[in-house]
Amino acid sequence: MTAILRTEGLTRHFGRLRAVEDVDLVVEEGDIYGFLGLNGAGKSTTIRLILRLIRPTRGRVLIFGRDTRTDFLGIMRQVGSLVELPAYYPYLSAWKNLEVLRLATGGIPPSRIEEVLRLVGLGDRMHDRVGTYSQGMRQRLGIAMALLPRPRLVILDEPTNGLDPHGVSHIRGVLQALNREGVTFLISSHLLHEVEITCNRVGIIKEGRLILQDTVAGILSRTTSGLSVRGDPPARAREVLAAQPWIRGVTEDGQGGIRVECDPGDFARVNAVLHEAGVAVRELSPVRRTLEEFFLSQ
Amino acid sequence: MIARVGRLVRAEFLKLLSNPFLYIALGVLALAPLASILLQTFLFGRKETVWRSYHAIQLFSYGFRWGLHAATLVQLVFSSMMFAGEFDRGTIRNLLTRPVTRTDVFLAKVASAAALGTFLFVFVLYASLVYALGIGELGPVWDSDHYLIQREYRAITAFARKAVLMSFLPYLTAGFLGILVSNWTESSGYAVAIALVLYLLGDMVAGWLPPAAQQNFFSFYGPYVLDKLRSYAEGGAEFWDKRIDEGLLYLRVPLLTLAAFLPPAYLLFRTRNIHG
Repeated sequence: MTAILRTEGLTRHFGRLRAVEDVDLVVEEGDIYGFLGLNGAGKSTTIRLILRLIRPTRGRVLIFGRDTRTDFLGIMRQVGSLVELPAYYPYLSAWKNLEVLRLATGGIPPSRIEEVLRLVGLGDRMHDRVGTYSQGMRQRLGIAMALLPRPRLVILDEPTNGLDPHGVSHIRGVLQALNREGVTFLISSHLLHEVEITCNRVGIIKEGRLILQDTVAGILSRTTSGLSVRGDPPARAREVLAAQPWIRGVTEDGQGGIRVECDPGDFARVNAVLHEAGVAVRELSPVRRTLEEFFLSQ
Repeated sequence: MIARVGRLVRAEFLKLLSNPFLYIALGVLALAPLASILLQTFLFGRKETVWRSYHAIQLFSYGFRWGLHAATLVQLVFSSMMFAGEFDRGTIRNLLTRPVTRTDVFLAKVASAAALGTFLFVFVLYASLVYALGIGELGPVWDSDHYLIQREYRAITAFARKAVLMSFLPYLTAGFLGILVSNWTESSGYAVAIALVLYLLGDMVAGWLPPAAQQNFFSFYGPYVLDKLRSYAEGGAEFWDKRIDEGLLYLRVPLLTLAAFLPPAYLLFRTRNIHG
């Protein structure tokens, strides 16, 4: 895979505050990359650095293999973005708001405005003043602004903020459909479940440092933390497992089963010792943490 | 670059023309010269040099002087919102993440502010002319006591043309004060307030200075040339101060002021980190 966005040692200090420190982010072509972090972790600052809204203290950003310092105009023709809350002119309609951006971008036919507004579900209200829109509609407008230039790379900061469940599902569908057409996404979000089902790769930033970057599947497979076991008689099963020195812990799960803490490589041994002790094993399944549990444990 | 700036100027005008404040401002500017003409003639009466009726150029000088003052304030409001309004709403992020440079955006906004300023100037000029020609009469200025022509028609219209031209650049410079202030602060409310206070305070302080020192302020020239026009149209014997007329102070002072306002405004915009 080709890296469509790569940051190298990206750093930004504000006085003594190290807002972003040596971030080496890699978004590959075709990714829906989830960028996670707590409030103040440095997500938005990193996105602003990528888009050159803020100048880095050091480091560089390569998009499509080109340095944003030297080829900003060429790069930005193929990049769409929504940074934090959608920004708009409240006295203009959605159509005119996009017309302003169409003129600023250049090379976009006027028909694209209606097309993209219909795509995000604003087709019926596109000539109404944005000042009269609900928060969810404004969020959709922000996404439409990002998608206007038919970008190859879209950077979205909290794209589903303020959307109702139907809106979240609709926008997820739009993003996934565009991704299938070859658009790459970098999405920062707090909605971990949403990231888990939408993104294929994830980066986690903490106190300005990128502490982890991997595929969602890779992270989830690494987060297997033990086994859920059901056997008869349950008391015997618990006694046998508690006696094994390679098992770190045995607890009841409150639903008649046992939660066994051990390495994934020892799962077969659990089954073997129970079988040897005459316990009838009814269920033996790995316990996986969700992305949210993993994120909160970091 | 010219194409990018041209597109951005079009975008600026799309925003401007949809802004309801523009139409409120135009309404005020349409009425300001008329109010000034009516108030001036009501307060000070008909001048003795005028034959039969008010002279149109005399009325024009009343109306245009205060209409231009109102246009200056409107221009200041718009220009000080030019950048600060974008910072305020966060729409500057939308603009700066498009394939345009900060220089493009700056030039487009400066050009738009100048074009808007010019439009407001012409608007007030025409409004003043319409009222002046509707109420007053054109022709020579007469001394009604002695039946003498004090001012030839050609002389007075030439004087008026020159006064209008001399007042343009000093007026336009006020807009650039707005652009500088607009880059200082990220709040459009503060920007408008600071720009108006700076302008009015500067104008007031300049008024306390000796006449020679007043000539160092760009805001001096608009009222100065239009007061001279009024005096000329009323048959007065005053002409331009030679230093101002032949020394081109009415061009040099505003141009120097522009040179002082624009580079820091550009530097502020160019180096600003966009957090909001």
